[in-house]
Amino acid sequence: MKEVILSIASGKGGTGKTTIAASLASIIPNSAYIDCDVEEPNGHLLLKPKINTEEFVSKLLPKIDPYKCTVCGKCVEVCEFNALINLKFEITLIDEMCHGCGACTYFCPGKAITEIEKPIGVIRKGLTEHGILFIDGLLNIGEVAAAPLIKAVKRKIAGSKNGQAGYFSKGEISNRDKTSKQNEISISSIKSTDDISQQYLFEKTYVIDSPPGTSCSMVEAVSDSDYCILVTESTPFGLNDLKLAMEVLKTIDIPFGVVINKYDASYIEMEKYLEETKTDLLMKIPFDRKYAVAYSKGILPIVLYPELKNEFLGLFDTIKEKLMMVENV
Amino acid sequence: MIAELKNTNKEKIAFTSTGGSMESLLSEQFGRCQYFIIVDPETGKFEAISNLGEQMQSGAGPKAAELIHHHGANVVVTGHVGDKAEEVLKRVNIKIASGYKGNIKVKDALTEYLSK
Repeated sequence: MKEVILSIASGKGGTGKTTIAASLASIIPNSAYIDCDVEEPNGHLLLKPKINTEEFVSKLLPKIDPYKCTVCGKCVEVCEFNALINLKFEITLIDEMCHGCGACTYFCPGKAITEIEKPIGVIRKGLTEHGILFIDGLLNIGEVAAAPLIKAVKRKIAGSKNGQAGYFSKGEISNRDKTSKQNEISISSIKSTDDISQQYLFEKTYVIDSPPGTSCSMVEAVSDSDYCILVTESTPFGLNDLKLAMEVLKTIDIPFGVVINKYDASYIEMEKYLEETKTDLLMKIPFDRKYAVAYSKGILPIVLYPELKNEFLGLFDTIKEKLMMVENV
Repeated sequence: MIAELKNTNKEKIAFTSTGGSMESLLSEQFGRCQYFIIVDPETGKFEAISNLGEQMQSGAGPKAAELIHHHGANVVVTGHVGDKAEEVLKRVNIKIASGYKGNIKVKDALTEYLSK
């Protein structure tokens, strides 16, 4: 297995996806952190990358020429998303409903429709000081559909995964290799010597930070992952939303395991459920004020607390085992 | 249903309704109401149109506005109208009378509206 896509998702928001994704990206050699939570990306607050490129992403919207349009209503009829409204004296477009499918343009008998680009957001790319490749998407304010931007962000991975030129030029990759070599030194200085994650299994690991929930944007973010980590917390809300997220992953057939963050041993229902459903419990992070304090200052808790860092190294080992099992099946 | 409402000069009032008659309860939802009852207050005749918006995944509001516009309404009496629907209603000069509660019958809502 050369390249691995590891996604971090959760049904409930605020369980610690970003902290876990950023921590994993920090300890996994040759990793990239991809923030797909485009509505409110916050991975940059923890990883503090130096952004060096920004690329605008647009969607296509129909533009109706009022001189050519006969208000026949064909476009309204074929629009699957109710984005076009027939006012009788003209056809009007409700921008935010439009998915840019192009059906109206295709079917317009009078060729009155052309497609224009409308910016929906930006993809930012950079490197952290430890040489982690950083990519995130930032959706424009007022834009409702996140999935097209997430798709665009993920295309940056797909391009390189299929061995095409993709997003990263050769120069960029070699540049990154250099940086990660320097990074190895800084990482290994804190790593325990018997750590098996030093045996490089993957050439590259893409850690995807998914948006919360179980809607289109989450599905878009986690699809094509080799493995998904579901983050939850020891509360009834955490459990309820975990069940929903598990259902999604089972449906789209992505192997997954669970991390319980803000772990509270007195909430036994969570582990009972995981046992009943034979779900892998990958890690428990105790509910500790000091982790929250670090986070609130924009510092990854693993940087300050080596015991937590060891837990994450263990988590990565577990995931590697799971992935090898998947590969051998 | 009873009469075709063709004279566009007169005021025609659309009510969001849970059923197809004047006895039905008013619906507080605009885009996702089950029926629109369009009344000509001068003749007292009305027309019931079933609203497909109930099953629509998204965009029910603007579509409902389109529907009552095509049926000649120029006022809508309902509980609440969303932003996108309001935009369309304004474009086609349909007056919005909102804030009506769903616990009254359409005929009572008509009396209430006309008394204002």
